[in-house]
Amino acid sequence: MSVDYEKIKKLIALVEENKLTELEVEEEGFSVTIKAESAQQTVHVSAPQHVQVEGSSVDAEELEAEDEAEEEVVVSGDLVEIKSPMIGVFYRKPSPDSPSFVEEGDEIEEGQTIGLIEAMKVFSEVPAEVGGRVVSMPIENGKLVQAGDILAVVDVSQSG
Amino acid sequence: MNIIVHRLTSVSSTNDAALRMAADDVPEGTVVVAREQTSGRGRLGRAWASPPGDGLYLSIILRPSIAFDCVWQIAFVAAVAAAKAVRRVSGLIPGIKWPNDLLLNGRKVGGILVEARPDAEALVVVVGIGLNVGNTAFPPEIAETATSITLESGRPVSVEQAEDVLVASFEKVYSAYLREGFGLLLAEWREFDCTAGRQVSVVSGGADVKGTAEGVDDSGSLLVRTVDGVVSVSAGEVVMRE
Repeated sequence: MSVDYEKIKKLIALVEENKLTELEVEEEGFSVTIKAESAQQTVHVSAPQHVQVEGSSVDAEELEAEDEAEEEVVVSGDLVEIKSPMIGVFYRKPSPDSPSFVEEGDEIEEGQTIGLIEAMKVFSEVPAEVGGRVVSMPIENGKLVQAGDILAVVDVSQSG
Repeated sequence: MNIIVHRLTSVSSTNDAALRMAADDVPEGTVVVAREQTSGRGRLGRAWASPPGDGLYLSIILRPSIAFDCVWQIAFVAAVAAAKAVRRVSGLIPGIKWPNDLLLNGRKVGGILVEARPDAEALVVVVGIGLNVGNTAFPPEIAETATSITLESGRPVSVEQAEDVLVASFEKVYSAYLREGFGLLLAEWREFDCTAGRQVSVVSGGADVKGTAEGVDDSGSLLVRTVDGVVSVSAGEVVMRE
């Protein structure tokens, strides 16, 4: 992920400080549009990644990233949401009698498998895109998920 | 795709071995074949009886350039490839029970387990296929539902012969899929579909869907006409009722 969140934050601050209603910035391989709507900004970034930032003027921290081949990750403060990359049945363990891949409270590493999604009998591992402490796993074992459903929330301030 | 076959006498499961090898960057087309699996497994860790001698147990490592959310299409690729191989060696027309169980005369002759992992650089997919080739008897718990190519066709097909035909079939069907896309592959799949028109029950995502199977839609989901309308099922185990 090469999106420069710091740059986006600075641009948001620029919009706030100058009470701008809209700011467009285009550079090679990066473009961003920030629209201020009273106490809220909407930021659209295109090429090579698509990032959307929404939040109040005080905590414009929520970054949503999309990547065609990987699950979406939403960052809010130190909490990162790992979202389902596809529709299917989510399994928290490799077989009914096995222990879960991860439990709430576990420390996990980036790339570690947090579950499986079954679609058409293809079992796809869902790797954690970040390391940290698992704060919650909101989906029960064996439940149907849609693309974008939150599978885990990870506190990245507690990694390592 | 260059086929490179690794032959093992005994392994816990060919998919486990292939997944380990895939992590070591072996190329697409690497095939792991075992005479025996000591922990052969199917969906959700269910055992797949894998004694030495009469069964074909193999896994193929793929690195397809497809989106992660299209990886389910590989289940249909594997099913068509295996169905064509069974047809070739048995002379009989197998049925595919959605999405990828292989049946001969209504009994299970083959199973497929596809496992995928998105790596940093590419998608890694392991296709495990188990075929009952020369088996003449099965463990009691599956004796009523399992069969073999030899039992149904009366032909003395060897495991080696089945392996050669299956690997060649897979290479051909997979290449055509990559070249032509999923539409043509799905059309071929439908020719083997033995689920359509049957009364089925599918446990999927905690729900039990009962009704008449009406084939698959373009996203590979099984369509089931229930008393409440048509339900689209994307995961789960289909039980065909009489």
